[in-house]
Amino acid sequence: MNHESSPAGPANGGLSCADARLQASAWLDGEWPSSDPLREHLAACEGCRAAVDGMRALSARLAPLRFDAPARDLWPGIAAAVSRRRDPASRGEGSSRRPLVLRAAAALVGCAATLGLLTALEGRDRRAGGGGTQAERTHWPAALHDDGGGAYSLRADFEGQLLALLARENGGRQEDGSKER
Amino acid sequence: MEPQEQDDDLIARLQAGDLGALESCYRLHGARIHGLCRRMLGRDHAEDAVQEVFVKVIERAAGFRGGSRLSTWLHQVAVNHCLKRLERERLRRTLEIPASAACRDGEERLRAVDDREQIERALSGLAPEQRAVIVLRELQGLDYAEIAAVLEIPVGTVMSRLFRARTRLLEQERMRTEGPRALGALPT
Ligand SMILES: [Zn+2]
Repeated sequence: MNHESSPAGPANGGLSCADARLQASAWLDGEWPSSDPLREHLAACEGCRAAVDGMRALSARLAPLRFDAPARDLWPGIAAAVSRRRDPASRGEGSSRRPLVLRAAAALVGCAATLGLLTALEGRDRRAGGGGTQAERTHWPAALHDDGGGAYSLRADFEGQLLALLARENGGRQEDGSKER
Repeated sequence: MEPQEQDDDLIARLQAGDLGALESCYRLHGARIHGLCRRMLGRDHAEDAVQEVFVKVIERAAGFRGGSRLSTWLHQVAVNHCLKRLERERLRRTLEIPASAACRDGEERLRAVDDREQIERALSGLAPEQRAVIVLRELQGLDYAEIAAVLEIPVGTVMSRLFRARTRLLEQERMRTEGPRALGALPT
């Protein structure tokens, strides 16, 4: 809309071009009455008439985008997603209630093994005269944290995480019950 | 059954966690919600978004207070989901536009497809908040009161935001068509 604007005045319905265009936009949507000031402004102002034509043409150009159904039925995916969230056991990851304790134990064993591996690697590094850059050495624990997820973040937070896992096992039933309604 | 009664029945069943009610809801409103997600997020993200929206619908039905139509509330859940996703993934730049398959067609059809792509591109170039009002008004056909309810903003803000979004779209189009001339370049 490059059309020049004018301030409000008696010759243009007492409306500024900015107000006239704002009102015309809502009028095109059937959300603003076709008032005398607006009619008078549009009759007197070529710029605003062109602006209204532009907005009208824009609506017509947007119309073909209105109907856009998905190419396939999305319901099976939605139903499966709801079921997975309601019953974590159906994820097929062995994440049902009882095995959670076993998973915690497995995490403990996994961490112990990883710690052993890390210690061995660090020992090898030391024996090899500190092979690898400082960045590589400090990256190891970070990488383990990223790949293994929360349960494998080592040392200081491991014990806390294990306790949290066990607390979730104890408190989980109540929490899920309220969600399930 | 009257639309309001149908809404009330569906909402009550959704609140009870009835998966059948969610399916009815999807069959009734899924295509429109897909259209909304498609225009807000782009084709590649639309189907995932629809799935996530309907999961939220059944999980959040208990929080639906009534006072608006079910379709309005569904739009609210969907728009909020899209805006959050846009914020998270910073998909604010121009979305991928499907390549035109119209090269075999006649000149007129080619122009129509080209125009559709142009307007899609212009729409995807709007800021998410402006895109949302245009999509809700021009594509979903909601009135100002419904848009105000969906976006939780006053009706006056709907009016001004919509006007600004239209102005922006028209400016973009003008830049596209008149840009080279404005820069003094010869048309090719
Ligand atoms: Zn004017």
